[in-house]
Amino acid sequence: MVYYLNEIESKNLLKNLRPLTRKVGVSEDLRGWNWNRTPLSPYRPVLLPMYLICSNYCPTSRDLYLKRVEKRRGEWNHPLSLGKVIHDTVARAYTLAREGEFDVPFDDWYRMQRYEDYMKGNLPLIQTYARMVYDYILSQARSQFNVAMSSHPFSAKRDMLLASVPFLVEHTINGELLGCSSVLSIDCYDYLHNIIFDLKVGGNRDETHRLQPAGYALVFESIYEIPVDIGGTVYLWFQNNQLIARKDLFPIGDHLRSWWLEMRDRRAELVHEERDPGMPAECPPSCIYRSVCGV
Amino acid sequence: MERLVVDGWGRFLGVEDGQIVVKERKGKSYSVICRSLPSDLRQVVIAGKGSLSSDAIDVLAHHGVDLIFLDWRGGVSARLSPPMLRTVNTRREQYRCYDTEKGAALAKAFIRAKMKNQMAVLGTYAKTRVQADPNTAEALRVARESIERIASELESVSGTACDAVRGTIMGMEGCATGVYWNAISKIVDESFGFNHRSGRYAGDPVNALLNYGYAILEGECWRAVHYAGLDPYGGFLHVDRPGRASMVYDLIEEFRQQVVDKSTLKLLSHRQIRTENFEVVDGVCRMDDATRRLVLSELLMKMDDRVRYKDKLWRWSDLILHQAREVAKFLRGESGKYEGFWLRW
Ligand code: SF4
Repeated sequence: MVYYLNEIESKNLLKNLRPLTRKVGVSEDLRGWNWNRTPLSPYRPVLLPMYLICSNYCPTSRDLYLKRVEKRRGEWNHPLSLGKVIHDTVARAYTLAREGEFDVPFDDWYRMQRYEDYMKGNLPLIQTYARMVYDYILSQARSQFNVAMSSHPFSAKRDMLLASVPFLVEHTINGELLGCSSVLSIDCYDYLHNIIFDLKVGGNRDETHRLQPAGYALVFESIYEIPVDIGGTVYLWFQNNQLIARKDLFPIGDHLRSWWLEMRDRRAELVHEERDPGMPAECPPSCIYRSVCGV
Repeated sequence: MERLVVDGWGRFLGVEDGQIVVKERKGKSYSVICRSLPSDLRQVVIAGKGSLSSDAIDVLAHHGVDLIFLDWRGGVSARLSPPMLRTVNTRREQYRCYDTEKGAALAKAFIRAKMKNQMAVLGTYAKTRVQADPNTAEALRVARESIERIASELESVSGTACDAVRGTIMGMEGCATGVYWNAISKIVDESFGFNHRSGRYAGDPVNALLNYGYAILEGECWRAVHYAGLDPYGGFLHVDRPGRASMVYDLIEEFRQQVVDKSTLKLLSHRQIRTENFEVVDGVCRMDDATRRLVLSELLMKMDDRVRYKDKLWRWSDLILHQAREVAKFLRGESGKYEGFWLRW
């Protein structure tokens, strides 16, 4: 599945989400193309990467202060390593699929990444999981492509690839108009359904995960001036050696957009003031700054 | 048409062929200036000097239409509402919950929402001024932060009854509101002489405008409270006082900033209102008829305007009604939580 919609998700999209977004709409003031006006125009001249605007790693946002003000780096740990490898793998697999290269071996590419040089965690397990994801995506993309070709036998292969694997993965976009970094990378843009996806490795759903697609939608609108009204968070995780993929599809309406703007302004303020927000009562065990903060 | 406003002098509201008609005196005769089916109406506002027939009252009541009368200050001088169903259970719970944690939670929810809306208004005005007037923008931003601090202190207030928390909550609300109006005064043209919120007897044009706007909002909240089956006099945050619609005042808190303050500031910033539109009579600042009409139409248009909230498109007046119904549901135990209305910008 990953970025493909299953039957239920397609029905939900067509019967619920699309009619809802058409009916409710989005305030013009909150469309990304109004980046030069209130409330979209950034209050502080600070440019932040999307993950630092939206992440809820550290309850007080001290991670942001450490990263941007003190220029400290976190430490690799298992969840971070797994997340990075899976993101790379998904991007690699879809890139191959879009080129019609369904049979490229996984191990050669994986070896070349030299993850073991800097990552920490259970690396053999991470590799196993990555291979599962890789095989899964390529076999599914191949089947979609075959269906497309058999339905349109006189079409060009390239055309059918663009229609059957309609995903721009790790799509880079400039976020400066909205106070984001100049090089942002959107996990996936499904250009046939006009949905922006964000990939999360893990199964814990959280409302704040919707912020990232909302932020990307705003940036997308600021650059291309095309409305993006639907976002999706894709959750990938592994259970009993089985890959599990679930999606949360949602409208990117006023509420999410203004929530994202509030987060952006709040975090830019913190960086601008160079203020250490202090430590929370409890630090999440997976935080990459535990050794820096002395937890 | 959902709301009929009868404004001006010498107008008459009556019934003709089952329709509600507004007639105006022209010389010695009356001519019809407006006709509507009572089933199309939700509210009739009598804002000027006129008269109405008992037939009209009867027809309006029969169709569940609210009838309110505004005085020159915009105060609601009288209201006629049709009888309600399903109020006993709601009201019983409303009185009972006053002495419970639920009542305390409601009191807190109203003020939490109010503070969040104050923050939103200040944040929006700060952003619009960041290029042209950075000092004012900064003052607004700092005020927003102060209110945010007070709002986070509010979260630690807990109690098992309204009486246990009301003093503390109102103290915090007073601080936040002081900060808010002090910051807002910086964006109002000095010629209006506005430097603080004076409440009922306006000493300056801005307070006069706000009072008038809040009164119109009060009419809308009253209607919502009534239709939700709540007792307008049984509040949680505002002290019970004879004749004081405390529940209505509680609900208003969530809507003042987004509905009235923003509309008023818009009229001022668009220079649609000038100091010469006001005069002081017996120590109270009064607006002239044209200004009163302008404010009334701006606010009534706003009530019919749409707002996107919780991924739904609401008319403001429906949203107010929805919130009142949510209060009633919470009191009856049909929902576990009441969330006040607030927007982030
Ligand atoms: S270790 Fe704790 S305080 Fe430091 S960044 Fe992580 S969560 Fe925040």
